[in-house]
Amino acid sequence: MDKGGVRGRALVLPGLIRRARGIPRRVGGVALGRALVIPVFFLLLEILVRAKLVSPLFVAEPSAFIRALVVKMADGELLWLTGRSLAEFGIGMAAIATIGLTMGYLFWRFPVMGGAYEPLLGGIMAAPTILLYPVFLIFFGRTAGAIIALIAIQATIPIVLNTRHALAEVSPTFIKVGRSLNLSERQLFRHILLPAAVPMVFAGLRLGIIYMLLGIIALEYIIGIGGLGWFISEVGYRFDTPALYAGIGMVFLVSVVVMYGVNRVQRALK
Amino acid sequence: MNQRRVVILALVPLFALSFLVAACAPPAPTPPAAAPAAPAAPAPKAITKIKLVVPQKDAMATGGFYAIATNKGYLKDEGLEVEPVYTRGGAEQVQVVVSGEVPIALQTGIASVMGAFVKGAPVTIISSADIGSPSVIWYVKADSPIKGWKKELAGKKVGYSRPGSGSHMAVLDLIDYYKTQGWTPPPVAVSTGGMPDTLAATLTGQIDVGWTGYPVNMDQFEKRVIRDVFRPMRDLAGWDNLVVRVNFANSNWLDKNREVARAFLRAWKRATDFSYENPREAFLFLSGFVGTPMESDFVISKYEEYQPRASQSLAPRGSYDLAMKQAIMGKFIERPLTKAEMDKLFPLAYIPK
Repeated sequence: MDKGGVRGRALVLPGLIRRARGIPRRVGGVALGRALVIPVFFLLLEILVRAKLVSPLFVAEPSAFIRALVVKMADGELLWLTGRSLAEFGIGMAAIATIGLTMGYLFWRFPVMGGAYEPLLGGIMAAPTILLYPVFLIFFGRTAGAIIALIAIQATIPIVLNTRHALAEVSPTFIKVGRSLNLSERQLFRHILLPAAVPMVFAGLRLGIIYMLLGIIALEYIIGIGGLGWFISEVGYRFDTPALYAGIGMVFLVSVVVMYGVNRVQRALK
Repeated sequence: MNQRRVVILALVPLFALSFLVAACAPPAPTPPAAAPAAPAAPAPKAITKIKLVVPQKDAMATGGFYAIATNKGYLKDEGLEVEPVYTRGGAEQVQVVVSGEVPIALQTGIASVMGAFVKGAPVTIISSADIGSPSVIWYVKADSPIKGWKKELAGKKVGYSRPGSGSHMAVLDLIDYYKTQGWTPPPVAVSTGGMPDTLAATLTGQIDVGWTGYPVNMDQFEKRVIRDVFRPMRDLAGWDNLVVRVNFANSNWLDKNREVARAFLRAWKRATDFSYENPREAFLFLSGFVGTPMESDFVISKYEEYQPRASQSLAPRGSYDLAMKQAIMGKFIERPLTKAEMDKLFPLAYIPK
């Protein structure tokens, strides 16, 4: 008796091919879903806006805002503004990573200091420090410096806290192994503590990146200076909805690229 | 002792006390003999509640007229109860009205309303609100090296409220004037938001030239902390009959509430007239509304100079050519509106006689 027959073999074949290529069945489905979700969403939105079920004053057709994105990038305006926002972001990230990692290490190295300041930092992280922008404008002027300085306050804190906890929570077994191999303190830190702490440190860096990026765009929008945030504010006031969504799309693209870069760096450090 | 018993024991004296109080209370007064029936009073006017965008609420033409209309009962006479919603000017309030959240907005830059109209937004101008903008003044710190507006503002940061506002159009016109005169570099327009924010920005050097609207910051002029350096109606051509700001409404709401809009404008006109006939009382109302004293002799003496009655006419004067030119400079519209489009945007049907 032929159990399954021709039809049975046809049903089994795709699975065999995937397994032969080393692609689990689940991964293929996820990849397909990921690839389709945005185009399907855009198609749905296009239909809704064209049918005037959604007001075109507030939501642009995807075809219109993609066209606006291409035009604005081609004439250089959006690229220049994106560059400006990214420059603010880059300077800010360099500052908060340096300060955050250093302070996190010091808080771990000197537990009394960590215990004294950690609750205060936690409170500041939860506070809407963005409302201090008028004060920062006075000290730094209407410049990118005001934006970077203000956002850096909040964005540094998750890096400090995560770094401290990452080092404090390294398994004692790893440390014992290191000591049994007669590693110096420096070697212990470099070869055991640091690699073990990387995942949690990067979790803190990711939070810092999110605070930094969101905060920069938000303050550019509120104050009316700078790059992408200023652009979104300007076109929004002019009811140029396709350009508005083009600007938002650009912010989204920048976020995706930045987070992808962080993930690659983390994998490399592992 | 279990909890239930405790509760009961606690409640019993409470009930007893309440019976005691009731028993000791004086007897209810007997009602007076019924008076002869009076003629039936006219049925009170049904009250319509509406929200109103009030930008830069410290100014007489916004918060002041609103305070007068409310306190003198002009709005109530027209059967209206108005709740103010505050913004910082320009296209910010256009978005609020277009969304349908608030049906009417005051003193909005005509450029931002035109810009929304050409994009298909449901907006209709119901009246003019500020002709010539004589009440808006640009100033510098008293010790600033800037003495005048011609050439000296080259490359300087000049503030305005929000994109699409009357102050924005004035700064764009100033920049255009510099370009036509060949004075380079032209001034730099900086959006500074409200008048208090702008004063802080100017005094701390964030910008070189700030703006204010009468009567806000008049005390700073009086104390010589700041001084006047530029006023478009005085210094630029064509501003005498320029409709700078308008009162406008959401068209969808307006179609169902035409009489409400007319009633509002009648009340508004009464408030405007009252302010010129009784300026001291008008400023007292404004002071009460904003919570800051504004009724000084200096301020009141400047009323007709900075806000002449003719500038508050609800009916427009002259053509819209300059307004459209400014709207194009600000990228709110790409081409001038046709007469038919202007008639649709500003039908003149709501202005009281």
